[in-house]
Amino acid sequence: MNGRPSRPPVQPAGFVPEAGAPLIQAVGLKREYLLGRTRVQALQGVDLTIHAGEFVALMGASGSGKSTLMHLLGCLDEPSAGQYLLEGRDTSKLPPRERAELRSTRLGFVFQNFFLLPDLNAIDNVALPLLYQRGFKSDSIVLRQRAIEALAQVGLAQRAGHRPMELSGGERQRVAIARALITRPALLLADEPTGNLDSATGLELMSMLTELWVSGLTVLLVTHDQNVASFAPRVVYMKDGRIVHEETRQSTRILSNGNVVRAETPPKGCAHDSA
Amino acid sequence: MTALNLMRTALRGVMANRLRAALTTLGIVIGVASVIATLALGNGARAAVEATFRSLGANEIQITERKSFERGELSSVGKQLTYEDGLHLAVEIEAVDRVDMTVQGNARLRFGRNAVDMSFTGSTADLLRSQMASGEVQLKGWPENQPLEPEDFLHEGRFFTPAEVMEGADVCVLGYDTAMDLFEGDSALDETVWVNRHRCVVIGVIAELEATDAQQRYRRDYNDTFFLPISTAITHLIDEEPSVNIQVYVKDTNRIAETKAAIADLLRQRHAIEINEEGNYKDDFDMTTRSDVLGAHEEAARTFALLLSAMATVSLAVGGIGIMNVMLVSVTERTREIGIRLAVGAQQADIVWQFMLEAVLISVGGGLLGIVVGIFTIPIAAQLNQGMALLAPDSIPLSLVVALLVGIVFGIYPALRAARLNPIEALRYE
Repeated sequence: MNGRPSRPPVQPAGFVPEAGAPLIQAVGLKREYLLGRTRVQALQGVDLTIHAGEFVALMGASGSGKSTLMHLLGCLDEPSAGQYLLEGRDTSKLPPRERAELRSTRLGFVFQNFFLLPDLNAIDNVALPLLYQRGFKSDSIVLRQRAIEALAQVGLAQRAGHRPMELSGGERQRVAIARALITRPALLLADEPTGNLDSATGLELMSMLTELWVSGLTVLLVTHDQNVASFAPRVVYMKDGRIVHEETRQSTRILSNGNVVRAETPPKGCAHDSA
Repeated sequence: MTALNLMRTALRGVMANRLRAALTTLGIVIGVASVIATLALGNGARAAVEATFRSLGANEIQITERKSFERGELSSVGKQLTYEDGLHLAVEIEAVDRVDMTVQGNARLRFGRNAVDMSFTGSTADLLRSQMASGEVQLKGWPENQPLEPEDFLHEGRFFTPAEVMEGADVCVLGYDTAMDLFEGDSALDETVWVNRHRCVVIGVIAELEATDAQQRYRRDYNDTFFLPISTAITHLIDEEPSVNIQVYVKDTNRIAETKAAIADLLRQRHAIEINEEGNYKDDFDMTTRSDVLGAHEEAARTFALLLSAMATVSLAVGGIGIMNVMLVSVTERTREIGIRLAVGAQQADIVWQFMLEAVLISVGGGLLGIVVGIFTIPIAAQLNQGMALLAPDSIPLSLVVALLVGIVFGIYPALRAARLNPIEALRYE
């Protein structure tokens, strides 16, 4: 009516993006901030496209800007310059309220330090994002049901009543994954998810993320560990706030009978097709 | 977030640090308890004042002799009010409907071999009517709200007439217990009794009376006394010229001020009152009306309320600052929790509500506890204040509203501070 282009709406929670369609488009993303009196250029113009159904590892040394990029892509921060489209919607200048809405409906986070609330048991920790989802009538029975389903997905249904302190590191991280999955997000962002786990548990967790990807979830993994990154068919290397290199493999690693083996990369979107 | 989940989350936040929350409420508990107790004291004092001055009618002017403390003794500052003063007021001031006068004294009353020493009242003829109108006394066992006639106050016989008062007739009316003591249950009517060395004929016996206000009953006995015409009492029973209490009843309540001025003029003339250096009359009498009493009481109540407000404000502000302090500490301690909530999709408004509700829960919890403590303090306050403390019903909702406001006012800043945290910095907080 007034000639202004209308903004694409936020896709509802659980909406499955079209396989192979660009889920993320970052164009010339920059992020700078002040460290005391020093202006730090954490990102210096990043271009990155991730399609729905991809499993991408973002690799780089400490200070390369990979976490900063993940925060921008996870709508936890806003860029100093450039454009970031999530499902075709420019999120670069969204107000905090709308970014929070995107986080609660389209994005799921897994952090290195798990970030579970210590006073809540596993089921309440997992249910937390649903409490903040607008329009979700959080009937306590439905809420519990959804949380138990998410915990079952990561094999922890029997530990639903336990608090984080009563769980092992691997179990805590699986609770964190269940919390990320409960909103049925379009993109799972995992920031050094194995950083606080022993190698065996780390491998189990990576296998779980791979299975989630195989089942259709888009995964963006931030890591500095080459072994962890090797689970992803596409690896993006960062250095000094820029993407410097990219690799795409035809095979990926999976855990089979306790051993890591190579497997053919499923074609993009195969899981969606089968779903 | 739904209101129910918000409440659960806030309650969980408060319960995670029970002891700290309980200690934080102390300021509010003390503030609210003191408000409840002090309002109860004010309410009790008001009730006592109302009971004391209930007898003062809207059309009544009470005239009393002015006294001052000199060398530790209460003494008159001028002339006494006399029976003649009262008679002149009744006759010379057109607006006056009637004048009641009383004097008090002690005498020995004797009939046959029975004798009792007691106080008496010398009065004008309308004493019963005035007492009935005042509502100060009631018949013992008289059904509530049932209308009374002056005659109902009499057990037998009659009260003296204006003519008997004017001529100083030798008649008397006995109180109920007095008649029982002297006549041991027989009729006293028309019997002659000795009052000191003066003979009087009993023309009536007053019915058994009690004070309307239960708290006043033990203070005054209305039955162990007797009544005589004031003129008879002054002439035969009181050696020196007594000071007379005068009650003037005005025909129209709108003419109270005008009548007061006329009374002052007349008494100044009769008492030959002069003007002092400041140009004011050196009056030796005081006049009191219901509006004077109520006005003075309202003034006192206003001062009291101001004092109370100041005290309540200070204690509640201290309590509120305590809450704010604890909430600020809580926000700092729970920075990472806030970061997690923001990361999983909490809106800033959700965080504001959560922390403000926690502050409100603490303050309202303190308010509720303060109400209980306040109610338990009332009997102690009453003991320290001659029984004058009554729970003011309004004080309970008032306290709750105040506690709620304290929670909102002092909780809003920490809540906003929590909501404005940067999610990334909050997650990195150690």
